[in-house]
Amino acid sequence: MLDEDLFVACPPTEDSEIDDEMVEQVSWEYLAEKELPNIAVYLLKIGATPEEARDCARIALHQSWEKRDTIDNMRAYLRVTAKNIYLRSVPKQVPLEECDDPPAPEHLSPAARVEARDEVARVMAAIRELPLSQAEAVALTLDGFTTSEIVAITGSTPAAVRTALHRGRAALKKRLAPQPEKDDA
Amino acid sequence: MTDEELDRLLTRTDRALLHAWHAEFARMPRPAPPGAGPAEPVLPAETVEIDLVATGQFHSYLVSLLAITDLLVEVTAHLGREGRMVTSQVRGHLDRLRAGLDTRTLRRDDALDLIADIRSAERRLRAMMLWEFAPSTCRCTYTALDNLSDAIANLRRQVHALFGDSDTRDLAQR
Repeated sequence: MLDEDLFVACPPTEDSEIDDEMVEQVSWEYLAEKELPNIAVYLLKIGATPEEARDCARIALHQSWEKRDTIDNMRAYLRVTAKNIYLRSVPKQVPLEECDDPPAPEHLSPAARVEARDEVARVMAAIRELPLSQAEAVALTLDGFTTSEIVAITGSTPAAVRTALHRGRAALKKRLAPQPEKDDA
Repeated sequence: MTDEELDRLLTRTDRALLHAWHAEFARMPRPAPPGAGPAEPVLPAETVEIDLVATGQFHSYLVSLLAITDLLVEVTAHLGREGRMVTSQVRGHLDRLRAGLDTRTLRRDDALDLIADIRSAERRLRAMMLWEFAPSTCRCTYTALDNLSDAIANLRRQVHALFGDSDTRDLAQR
């Protein structure tokens, strides 16, 4: 498409090194802006407190960035790293469901906040009540990962991931179904 | 509850949480990459000056503009909505550049600013590619990105040569 002859009068500049630095900077900013919230939400779903989610997401970002040249799927790697950091930091005897509530959407408009707060809390509580494998399968699917990527992230098998997703969704449907109103009469 | 209802509920929850966490991280000091200094990205100084008459490349900017337009289509084919948004902005810049250069109504600084914005958009597209697709899995797009970068560099040199140290009045007189 580009004909070299067209640019014969335009010798190349020697700014490639600076360009690389700028690409690195922009890449970092893009990654931080786009992925930090996603990682935090993922960690919340598998039981992290807001503080743990925030800290683990940032640590995972730094650790993954240092290995960026060797990573093929950065989004998946970030989640694996974040989960490992989180699980290492959580005492095994603390049940996930005893963690604090996830943050309410405090930065939405007041009207949207009132409307969304209860629903978010209810859905997140239901997800966090799931076994870890099911919560992970549901969270990662929502995050846009394919089954094969979830297998890579969780170290499981395709069949186990599909089963976990199916059972997780079935449990969520049951727990989140609208409760029939009781007839007091 | 049906699958569709569950999906809608989960998506709504995700959106609300992500909104909250985007705001949360936006309020915090922006993290710096490990080992990075406080370096401010600075555009490289222009090092190449081309004499317009000697090169005979008066309208070569049109070639670069068309090349950039074509390459943007290639690059953003895999980048979804975010890629299309960046491309849309770049197309606006390209249109302004072409109209301004064709009618000799664009000032040199404005033209170079537009090109700087196009360069910035190209870097953003490259960043998106780097984190979405490994170079080994999407070689054609990376090649297109490299060509896009070259085309922008050429455009900048051509516009620079077109103006030289002149202002728009000088250009109109050529």
